[in-house]
Amino acid sequence: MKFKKGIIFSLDGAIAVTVVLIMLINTTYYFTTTSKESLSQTQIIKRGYDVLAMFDYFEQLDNVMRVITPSDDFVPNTTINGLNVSNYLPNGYEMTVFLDDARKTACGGCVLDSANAITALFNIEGLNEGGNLYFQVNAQLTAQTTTNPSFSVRHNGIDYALTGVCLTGACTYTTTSPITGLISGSGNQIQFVRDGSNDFTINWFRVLDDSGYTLSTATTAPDDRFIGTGERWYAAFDSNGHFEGLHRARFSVWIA
Amino acid sequence: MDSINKKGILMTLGMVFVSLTILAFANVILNNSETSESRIKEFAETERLYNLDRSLSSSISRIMKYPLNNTHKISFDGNVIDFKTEFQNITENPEVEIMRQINITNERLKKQAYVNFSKNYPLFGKNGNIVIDSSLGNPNSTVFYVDQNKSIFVEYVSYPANMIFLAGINEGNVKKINFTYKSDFMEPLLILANMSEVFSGACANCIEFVFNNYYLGSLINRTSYNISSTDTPPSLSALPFGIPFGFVQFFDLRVAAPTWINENRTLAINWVNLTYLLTSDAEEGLAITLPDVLVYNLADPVKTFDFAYYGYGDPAVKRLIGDTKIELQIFLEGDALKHEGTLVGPLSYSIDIPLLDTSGEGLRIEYIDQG
Repeated sequence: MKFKKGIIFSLDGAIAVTVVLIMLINTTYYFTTTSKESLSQTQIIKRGYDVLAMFDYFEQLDNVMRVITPSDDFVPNTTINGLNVSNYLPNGYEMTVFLDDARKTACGGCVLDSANAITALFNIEGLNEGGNLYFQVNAQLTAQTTTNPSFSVRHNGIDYALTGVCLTGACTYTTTSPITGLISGSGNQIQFVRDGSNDFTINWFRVLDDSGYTLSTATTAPDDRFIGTGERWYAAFDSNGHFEGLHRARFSVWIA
Repeated sequence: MDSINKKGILMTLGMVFVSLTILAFANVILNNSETSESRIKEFAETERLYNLDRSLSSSISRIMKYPLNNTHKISFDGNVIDFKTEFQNITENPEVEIMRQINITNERLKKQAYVNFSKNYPLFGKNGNIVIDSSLGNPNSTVFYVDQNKSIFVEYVSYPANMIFLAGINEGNVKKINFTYKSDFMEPLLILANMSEVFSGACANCIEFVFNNYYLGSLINRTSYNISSTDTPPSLSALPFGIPFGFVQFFDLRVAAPTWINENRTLAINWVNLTYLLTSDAEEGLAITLPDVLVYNLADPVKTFDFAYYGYGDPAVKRLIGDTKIELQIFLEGDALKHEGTLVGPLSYSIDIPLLDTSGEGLRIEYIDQG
């Protein structure tokens, strides 16, 4: 009888201890979770949004898109003609800015005139995702003979029309529909086709919305702490004030 | 034996009590942490939506500020709305370009940011109430609402219609309209006022309408009239040409150009009532058009509001020569100091839920009541 009571008592105690332990583990877990997703982390994100808003407000995002050249692998982080995050970021913070659609592929010797109705084939730089994507091209109208001069982009035998061509300076145009069937990697080739009467010099081109054409400021984010992220869209204009579309800027921000 | 049993029971009860206490605390902490976590997520999501909305509003403002300055410009200072535009052919290219770019942007945003300009385009959206002759269909227009009174709006219909529609104005909310015409190519001639609807003398409850017509930089004439929205005939049968919607001619400003031999063309200022259409955004107001509104699509007269010159059926002739600067200053009733409103665009895009309203000038966020 005594022996049985002892067992029951021990079992009872063990169950009670187990319940208490489960409670303690849960409590500890949620304590940890609460402190991990704290308001202070949203404050870090807010700092990132503020910096990006300042760049946008002072039209630096738009400006740097024009300044980037085909030879740039990073977004310049200079105060003039660049994105210098330390101008706006409090001490102790670090930040990387990613500009989608910022990379440019040079089109050396891309001339459309009476002797060149169609250009040679050009490789599109490595795409990460591919798919059906819009395409932008920057060109200079060198000789105008019609009211609305234009040219088109050819991919896989299909010609894609571009948005309206501005009449002075070098302007940036977008295909009016996405180029279909772009594959990931560097196996995509395009040509430029003359409209029959106007002459152009093509400076550069790029594919929109593929991460292969995203550039960032050089800073690399660490992997041992919280990284806040966010995004913003901004209107971009070419050097003639010609509206060429909206682009996305993203950021990663952390405490150094 | 009894004493040992009681102690055992007490200890068990004690442990259960302690366990329940810890359980209760754990439950409170659990609920608190869950609530806190969801609040932080809501906060972060609101921050994302807010920044997305602000950046899009800012982008639209910049498009209006730079490229659209070549086509039209609007401001609201105190109680005066100032609208400037040029009725000219060259507005076509930048406007069409912007429309295309917004189309492309719409397609890209739908995929990437869950933003959709499905409600109405913020600039050059399709006007559902007006048709510019059967071949052109509904025109593209840009609407600017007066923030504190959304029944008043300025609608600019882009090329080739060349129309400014001042909707929702009446004697109760507008006291004066300054109309300025400036051209170096099309000389303003006569102002023909429909004197059965317009008063040149005193009028107790009217809107003062002042013409300031310039040619080659010189003031040709400055004439003041009084107009009243209540002069619109309520009876459809009384309308000119038997047209079954509220349309009353107020003024015709005849213009001439050296290349037009024995031909005058007309800038018309008419009262147009579209409220019978029973669409939510239909209004009545003053329509300023160049060329004149005179031709109607008889096949679908109810919804058609056509444009053509007097006697010129050839669409090629509709093209204007040179440029004509039109400026409208609309003086609202009330104390200027009490007007702190802004001009806002119509609800134009949605970012998941909630729907957000965007501002044409400046940045503003407004959650739309879904009712």
